Amino acid sequence: MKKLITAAVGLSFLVGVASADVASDQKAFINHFKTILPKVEFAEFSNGVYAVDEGSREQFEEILDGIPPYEGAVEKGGKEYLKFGLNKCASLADPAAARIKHPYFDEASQQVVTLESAIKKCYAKQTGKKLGSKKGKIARISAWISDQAVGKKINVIVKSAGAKAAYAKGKATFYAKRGQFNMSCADCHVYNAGKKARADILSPALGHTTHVPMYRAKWAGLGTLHRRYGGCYKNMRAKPLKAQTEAYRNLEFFHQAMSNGLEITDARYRK
Amino acid sequence: MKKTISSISAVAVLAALFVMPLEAGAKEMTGEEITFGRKLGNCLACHMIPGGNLPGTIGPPLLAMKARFPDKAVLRAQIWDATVKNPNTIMPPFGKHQALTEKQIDKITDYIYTK
Ligand code: HEC
Ligand code: HEC
Repeated sequence: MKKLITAAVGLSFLVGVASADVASDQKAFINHFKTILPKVEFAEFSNGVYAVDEGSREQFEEILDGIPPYEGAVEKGGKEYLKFGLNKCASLADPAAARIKHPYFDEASQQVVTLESAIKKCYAKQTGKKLGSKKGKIARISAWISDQAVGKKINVIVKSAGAKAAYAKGKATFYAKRGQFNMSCADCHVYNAGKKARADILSPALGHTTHVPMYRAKWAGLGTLHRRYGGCYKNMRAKPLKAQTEAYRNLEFFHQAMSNGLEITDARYRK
Repeated sequence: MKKTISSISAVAVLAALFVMPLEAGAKEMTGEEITFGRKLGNCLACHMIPGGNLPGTIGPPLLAMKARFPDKAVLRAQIWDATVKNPNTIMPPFGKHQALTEKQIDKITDYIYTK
């Protein structure tokens, strides 16, 4: 019987859905990546696959040394931030602070508020119009806001009972098998990080949110974190959820918390 | 008149759309095509298989299958539902979740068995 119990505990390694303690979860997370990717320094995890793969690292650095393909879009996002009066909402008035503050758990609504959900809300208030959630204007504005916080560290705070419940739900989503392929986010970005799926190296989930919204050559443009979630749901042959739905916001809450202490970067380029 | 023409061509396009998959179905796919095809087995996503390009490194190389699976049914069962052996595996349960048909799984099994 004891053996059975230890086996069960072994399986729930990192999964420990019942617990909702960021510090201990993150410690286990970091230790795991130290074990499977011993050469990668903590700060380097913000570079995704390029922290792992020397082959494509050079190309990445060349792109960053030149004029990255998203530079114009991010500049435009800055103009749009002012044009639509987003500086007039308290939530976004100080853009660097806004990037650091989000995602956070709002006690009044008992919901996780992401940076993009705050941008959408403010945009609607200022213009009376709806803003998308995945690409175009929202990605440009969000990227510009995040650029103002470059060098600051991700610091997701999970304290109240409500916050812990949202975090635990996000964590469960991250580790749950789903879709026709019966895969979890962790299958690719934790257990098999650094390995190749065909020609794609799987990036470690540690550091996944330091450069969002990311630019992807495949998209030929910027996309939000939730746009990427949709793509990865398709990788699992699961039906993507709508960007900014509660389940994705909770997932982001957990996902960003796992990168606590890593610096926000404007190195947004990915393949 | 213009309208009729465009609707006629729409019908033609629709007909072509229906005919094409029929024709594609008529030509039987080989075991190799089903095993390597990105929208089918896509086994190369995770496994090195002799003769396949750009293999992933997530799963073990598929080599010497006859020696490792003296009972072919065990090999087929692994492809049909890899979670029986390892509930946490990343390998998709191709048969159980109907990602592939029974016939396709037979063909993949036969093909892999020659490796
Ligand atoms: C079948 C494998 C697979 C699964 C399962 C999967 N992904 Fe991915 N994911 C990829 C691949 C391949 C890429 C592109 C290469 C890379 O950066 O890892 C990617 C990229 C990403 C990126 C962008 C990383 C960056 O540096 O910009 C994020 C974020 C991400 N995935 C999150 C998730 C989340 C969250 C889930 C679960 C909901 C998930 N993925 C499930 C394969 C997968
Ligand atoms: C997303 C990854 C992935 C895909 C796709 C995949 N596999 Fe696997 N496969 C694995 C992993 C990982 C293992 C190791 C065993 C485990 O995880 O329990 C494995 C194990 C196996 C084994 C057992 C090997 C042994 O020596 O015990 C066979 C046979 C196999 N796979 C065949 C296939 C075939 C055929 C396909 C395509 C129809 C396929 N796999 C697709 C990941 C994958």
